[in-house]
Amino acid sequence: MRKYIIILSVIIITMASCQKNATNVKLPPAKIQLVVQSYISPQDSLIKVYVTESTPVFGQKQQNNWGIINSLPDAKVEITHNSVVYTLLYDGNELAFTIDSSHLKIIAGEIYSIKVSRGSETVTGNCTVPFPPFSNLSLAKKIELKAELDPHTKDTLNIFYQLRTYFDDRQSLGDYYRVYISSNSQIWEYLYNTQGNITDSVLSSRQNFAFFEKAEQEYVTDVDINGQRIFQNSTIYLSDKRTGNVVSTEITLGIMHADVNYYKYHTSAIGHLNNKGNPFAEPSLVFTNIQGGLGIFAAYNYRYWVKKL
Amino acid sequence: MTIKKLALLLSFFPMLCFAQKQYSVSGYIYEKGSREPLTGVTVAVPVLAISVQANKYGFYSVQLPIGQHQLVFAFSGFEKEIIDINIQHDTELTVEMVVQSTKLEGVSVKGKKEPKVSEDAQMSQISVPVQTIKDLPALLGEKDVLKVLQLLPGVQKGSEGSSGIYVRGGGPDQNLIILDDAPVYNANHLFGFFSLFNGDALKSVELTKGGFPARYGGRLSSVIEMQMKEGNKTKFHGEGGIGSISSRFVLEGPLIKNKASFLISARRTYLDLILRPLIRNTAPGADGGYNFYDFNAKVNYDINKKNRIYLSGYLGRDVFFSSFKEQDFKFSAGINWGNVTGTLRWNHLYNNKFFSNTSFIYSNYNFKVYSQFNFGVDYYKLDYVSGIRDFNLKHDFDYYYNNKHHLKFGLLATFHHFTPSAVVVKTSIDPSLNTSNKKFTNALESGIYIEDYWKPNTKWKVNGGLRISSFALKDKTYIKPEPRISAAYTLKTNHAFKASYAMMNQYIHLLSNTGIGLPTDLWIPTTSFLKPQQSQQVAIGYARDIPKYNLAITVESYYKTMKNIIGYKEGASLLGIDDIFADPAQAGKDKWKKVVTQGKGWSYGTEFLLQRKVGQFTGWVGYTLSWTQLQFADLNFGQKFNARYDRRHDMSVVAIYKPNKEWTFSMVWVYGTGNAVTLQNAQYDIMLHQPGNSNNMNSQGNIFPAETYGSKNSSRMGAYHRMDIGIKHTKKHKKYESYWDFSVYNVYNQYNPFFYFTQTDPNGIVKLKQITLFPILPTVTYGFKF
Repeated sequence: MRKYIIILSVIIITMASCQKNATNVKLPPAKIQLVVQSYISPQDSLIKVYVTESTPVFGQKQQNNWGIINSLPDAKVEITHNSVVYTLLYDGNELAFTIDSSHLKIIAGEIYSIKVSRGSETVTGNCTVPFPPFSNLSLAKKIELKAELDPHTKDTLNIFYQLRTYFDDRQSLGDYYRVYISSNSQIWEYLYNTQGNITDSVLSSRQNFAFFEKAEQEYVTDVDINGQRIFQNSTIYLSDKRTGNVVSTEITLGIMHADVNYYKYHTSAIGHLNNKGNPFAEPSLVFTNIQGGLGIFAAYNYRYWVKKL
Repeated sequence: MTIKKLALLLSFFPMLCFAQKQYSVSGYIYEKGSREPLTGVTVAVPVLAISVQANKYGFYSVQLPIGQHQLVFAFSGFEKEIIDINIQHDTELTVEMVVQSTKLEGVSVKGKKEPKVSEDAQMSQISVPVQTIKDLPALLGEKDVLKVLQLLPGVQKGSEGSSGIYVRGGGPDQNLIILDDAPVYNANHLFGFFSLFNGDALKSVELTKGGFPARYGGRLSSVIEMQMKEGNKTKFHGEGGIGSISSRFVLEGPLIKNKASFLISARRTYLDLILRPLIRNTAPGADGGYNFYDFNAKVNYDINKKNRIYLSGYLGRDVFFSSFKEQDFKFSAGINWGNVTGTLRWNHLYNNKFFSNTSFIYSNYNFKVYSQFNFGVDYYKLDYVSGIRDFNLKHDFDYYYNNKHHLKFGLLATFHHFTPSAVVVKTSIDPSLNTSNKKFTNALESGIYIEDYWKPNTKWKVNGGLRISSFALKDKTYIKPEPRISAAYTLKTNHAFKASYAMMNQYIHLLSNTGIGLPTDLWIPTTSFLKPQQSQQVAIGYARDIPKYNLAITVESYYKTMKNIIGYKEGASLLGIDDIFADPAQAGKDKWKKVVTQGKGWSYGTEFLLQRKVGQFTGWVGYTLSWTQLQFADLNFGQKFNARYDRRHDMSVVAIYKPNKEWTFSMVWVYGTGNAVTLQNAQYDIMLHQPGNSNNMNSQGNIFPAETYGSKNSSRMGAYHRMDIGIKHTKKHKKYESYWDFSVYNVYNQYNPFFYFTQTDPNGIVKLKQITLFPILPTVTYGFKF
């Protein structure tokens, strides 16, 4: 009997978990849609609108653009403000449709509409520019942490700062924020030739962003905490002795007062990216406020200050 | 107020009056031989058009005028018992019924012999004889109560092989699963593939999916009530089986002949015993395996004619473990979960009309995920524990006031002790990482109810009642009235129309983001911020009996609304929510709202059931046409969407043929519309904003590929269908009986999808692939009984 059980179990294990092409699946139609992505702000010098399109997933060759978007230069992009229509022109360097803010002023409290057309397809969206944040992002506490001791020399290799920051919400419902803390550093980057060999190294500037303890400390809504002081815990990296990178000890403490579209797009996109590839988790959908298409047309208003740590 | 005073009060109930002097005939009904009390036997006096039903402890009481009467006792699978009796005073009559040897049972409504669905006020209730569960073919030979219930109309399975139950659009947490009065949480073994109930130890299984009597509460969608056998009071009896993945054994017998008996049963898998040597041989230093076991025990004692006590218990656990060792490095990880229940019951007969049952019930469910590694003197240990422990006191009364009114009333109080999420970290590497987060929450759930099974005349039967439930936390108490009514109108003999309404409240919730019933799903309480779930269900139906062919037909339509049902917000999961579930009652509203969302649901449909209950050939055909939609403010951007288990068509055909005592042939065929799922159909590049950059974003950074899905659950998996067949050959030996049970699961090798994923082929073309768990699977089980 034991022999029989072993044989049968092996058969069961080997037969189980078959993989094949899916058939008889009812999928939603893979409609190619215009994707419009633009964030406008009174502080920006250049208003940019990126226009791309979605592509079907199945039966198509997977595209890999290595982080460069496939813009659609033949689209027509218009932003309307106070019944005045502004047409944006395609900028091949930016891969975006742009207009200088001296022509199209972004004003807090005003409504802006976007219309993007390509062929017979037209998509629209609109947003309201928020007022500046009620308060600065203030630093309540900083703790210097030296980490990653060299096992041989016992030298400190990295310096981190744990920061506790806060800002005050204004007494009105439906405020959305994004908090950011950054530092500038000069880092050594390698240059490669066409064969992939290192040819040189150069010092280039890079922005380091603080990591927040929780996503909801970076993307903040005042639902249920209206009018209160809102705190964040974050960690920012400042120096690395190993590489010789030059790191500034100045940090930028910034706070953006965003519209609801901005908040929903970013939080849903992060949820979507986090859940990707897990067959047992329910997929997260990405928010859009583009009627008839995908993407985002959102606005924000920000203030920041620089502090030496 | 004393019980006697309460009885007196009830006797002045204004509508309960009649003129002629009547006496009661009452007593217990047993199975002859084993003296196992029989549940739900119909006691009828046909001449007077009187019929009552014995309660679940086998007690009955019927009121008759002075004179000669003929009482008929009928129960599915038993010979009809006809007793002539001359009534001159209150009479005690104990009845022993003989198991029917020629006619065979199938699925029956309310468990009566030759059941007449047209004669019962209750609708949406089905009892499944345990023998039917044993006769049907099963996955890997593991006979499974819940999987047989999935074959009934209105009941759906979750995914391939899963024993999760979805009743009339409700989730798997909305089923009250009761074993000997004890609620059972997460009634699954092997990650949901098998239920934890050992059919050999069960006496009865009854499913109620609508028209809930007031005595039931605490869940929205169904009540699955199971009773364990009590143990043979006259002789020893054993039963066992050796299957492909597990073996089981039951032993029962008298402790004091005709007064006290016991029953013990045990089951264990041996997957680990087979796999561990393979793992050790193929990967030196590695070890791992999986097993589950369960153990049932019950003793009962008839103290005297008016008092009897029962003590029953269940212990079951699943253990999955793995480890690896190499020189100074040692790693181990695993997950285990299980239930422990215990019930102490006292049956007391106040008089020949008034019966009570008092139960003290303990139930504990927990799961634990652990990992540990040691490297030299350094170590890191993580334990994650979640669980719920209940202490329950229940006091139920049956009052057979007269032949027109059978009152049931009672109260229950459950003390819940939740440990939704406890994390313990111990490490020598960085003491600042040490954590011991073991907070818990207590709550008191209680309810009082009264129901009256009222038969005003021969045409109408009504079961009306009211339940008042409450849930008390430290800072908040919910009190909810729950009206219930179900009625049947007999159009003519064997034809009846039925209707019912029930409001239900549910105070504990299962938080799941998988929908497949993993043990990692969390049981959490209602809090000040998390409101109780509530449903209202109306149903209408038609019942028709065709006695000539032993056929019964029921057609029922239902409409159910649900509110405050619970779900994870998009992107939220078990991980990263420790700070909330460490102390859910105290967690701020904002914290709850970031993880959990509550919404509404609608389910409606029509169910058809044609069944043949007795004879050599038994079985049923069930069909359900249904819709289930959900709406959450924080899911699918507030738009309605199909529930994952929304299934437009669901059909099952079940047939059992027993040409003689030796052979049993069985067949099951199921068909169901595919589950609603969210599948990607297109992709595009998301450009996230880069703060602090005056150009706010650029074309070469913060770009991530994303997929579009239409709306949530807008795709459909391929339709599910499968046929299983079974052949059982029983042989009688001198001192025992043995059988071989051959079954083939998925006989025509249908590749049903379990889940989908995308894969890019060598040409760069993206394809949708599916995983099928179980192709054709033949199994054989050897069993015996004595």
